Amino acid sequence: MKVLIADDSKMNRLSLGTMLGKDGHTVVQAEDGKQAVALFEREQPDLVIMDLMMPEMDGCQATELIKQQTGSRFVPVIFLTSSATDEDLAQCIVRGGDDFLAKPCHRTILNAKIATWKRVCDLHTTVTAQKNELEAYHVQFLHEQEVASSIRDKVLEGGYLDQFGIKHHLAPAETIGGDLILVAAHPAGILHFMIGDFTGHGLSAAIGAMPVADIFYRMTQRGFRLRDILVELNRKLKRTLPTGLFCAASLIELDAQRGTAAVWNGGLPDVLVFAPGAGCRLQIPSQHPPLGVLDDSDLQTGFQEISIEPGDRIYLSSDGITEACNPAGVMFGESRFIECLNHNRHPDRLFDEILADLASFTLGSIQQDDVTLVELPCDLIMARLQAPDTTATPPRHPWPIDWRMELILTPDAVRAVDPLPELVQMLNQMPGVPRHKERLCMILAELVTNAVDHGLLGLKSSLKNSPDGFEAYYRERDARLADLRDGHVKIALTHTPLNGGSKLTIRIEDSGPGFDFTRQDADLAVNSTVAGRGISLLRSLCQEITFHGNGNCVEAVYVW
Amino acid sequence: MLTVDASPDGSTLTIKPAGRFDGKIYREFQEAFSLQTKPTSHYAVDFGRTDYIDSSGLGMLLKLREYAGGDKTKVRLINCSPDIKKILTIAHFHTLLTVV
Repeated sequence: MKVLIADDSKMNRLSLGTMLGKDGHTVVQAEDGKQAVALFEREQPDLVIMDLMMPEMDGCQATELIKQQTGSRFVPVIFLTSSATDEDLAQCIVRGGDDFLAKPCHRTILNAKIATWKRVCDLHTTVTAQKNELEAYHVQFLHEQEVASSIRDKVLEGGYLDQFGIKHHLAPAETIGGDLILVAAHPAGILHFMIGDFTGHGLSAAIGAMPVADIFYRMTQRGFRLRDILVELNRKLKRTLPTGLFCAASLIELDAQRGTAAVWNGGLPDVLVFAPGAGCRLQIPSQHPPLGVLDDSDLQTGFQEISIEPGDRIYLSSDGITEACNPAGVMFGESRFIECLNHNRHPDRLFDEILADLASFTLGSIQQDDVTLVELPCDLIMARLQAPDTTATPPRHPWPIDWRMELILTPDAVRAVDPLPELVQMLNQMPGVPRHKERLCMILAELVTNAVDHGLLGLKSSLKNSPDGFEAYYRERDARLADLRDGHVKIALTHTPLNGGSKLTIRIEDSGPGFDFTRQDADLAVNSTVAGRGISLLRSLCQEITFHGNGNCVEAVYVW
Repeated sequence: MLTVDASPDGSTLTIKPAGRFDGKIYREFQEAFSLQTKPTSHYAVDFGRTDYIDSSGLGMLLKLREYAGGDKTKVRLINCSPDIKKILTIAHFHTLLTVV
């Protein structure tokens, strides 16, 4: 070690210096306090031995100045004392000294002191280095969190929340949250909604959220239904996330035409349906494990279908709300949440009331988990879904092309692809179509579903009438589809330019037995129920619907 | 904050976490089952002294399930309080693990 000795007695300096030199230390000597401060700056010693009484500047003052110079370095100052009072000694420590050494010094004591203080210095150096390293990591960590957070926000941002008047509250427990809200409008005038809660928070949750948002938006835009998106999301998460990471989620399809909501809840708190005056009129509990847990073959994709009444609002939340604790460690709980709904007098204020109740319950306790709350105002969403799309500009020139295309789906093709997204994609290229995309998509979806489900697979709509009808229907559909060996569906699109517009003829023929279309009026009543959405809907959308053959061929004409 | 107990005949390995069953005891829990000899019958997680389970805790149960071979009968959850049962039910874990 390099030791600075400050003592006005030459004798003392010599004897101390000799002892220290023998033990392998380097020695620097100062004759008074002032010199000690100057030497300290120049020589940067590791330890200082300081006499108390010196000319020019005493030991205490010199120590103060030296300690100001050390910065983050720790340099112990040991005072040499002979006849100092207790008060003097106390003063030495107050002014920055670390230890005392009685004069005259014995070599054993001196060595022991220096060895002890070397240990303290080494410890200090190690701790300081670790602290600096930690600080550097922390700065980097915060920076990366911010970057991840901003990327995540961009990926998640769909812009639809405001468009449909959806109120939402997303309060992450850390810089990046594990909760996400996704909203997109399906081309057939259906709202796709998803709320998700990833295991844990931070980077892992943010990384998981990205493929989810990507799949959700891309597949919705291309015309896939939420059931298919659900399957794809689960598959992707199961494949990419390590075991133990998953995403609890609720998915909702709001269909304005049919006035229904279809709900799939996997691992989140009950989805609550609020009716003005009645409070919480319906609870849809979790029916499935979260996304990313089950294999494809075990995933159940049955949505619970409910009809939407005027004034209905749907509330969805992550468990951060029900499990939020007050200072006594009591959880907010589902019952308090439902009470908010039941006590409400002004539906427009309900969303804020829930948040206010939560805040006054938790009383500023530290938030442990991401808190997410969403309100879906069904009336408003349905009205906006049915309003014509004002963002698309009308075509300046009609598309002056006659064309016809035909597509034949074999059993393998029906199993492998949903033809709808591809057809929609193609039609989208035509000028003028974007404004009619919803309707065309709906017509195509209806016709293709009828041909495949009823024609090719021979399924009966009446299956859907039982309480778990939808689940049963889709289970049966999957089973029959897997066994399908023969048959085909032929889709033909014919486009004819009209004066200033277009006419699209959609002809779909299946190899099934058909049905007695002369009795169709009798079937209309059946078909206008929730289960058999068929023909009445088509009639309302198309200019013309005609059946041919033995009912296995249908032609729809749409003019714009 | 957990104890591990192997039955004398080696058929069952019981892990008993205390307090909160969350991400903070991830490593401890992982070691509790992976460093021991595999039981011939099943693993048991005893929630008798557990106050609360969060989603990371649920994730750890899935890891144990996978380690045990992915079979529902290989992991049994015992002495679950009503609160813990509720959380397991919301996540539909009773379809993946045996809740006694």
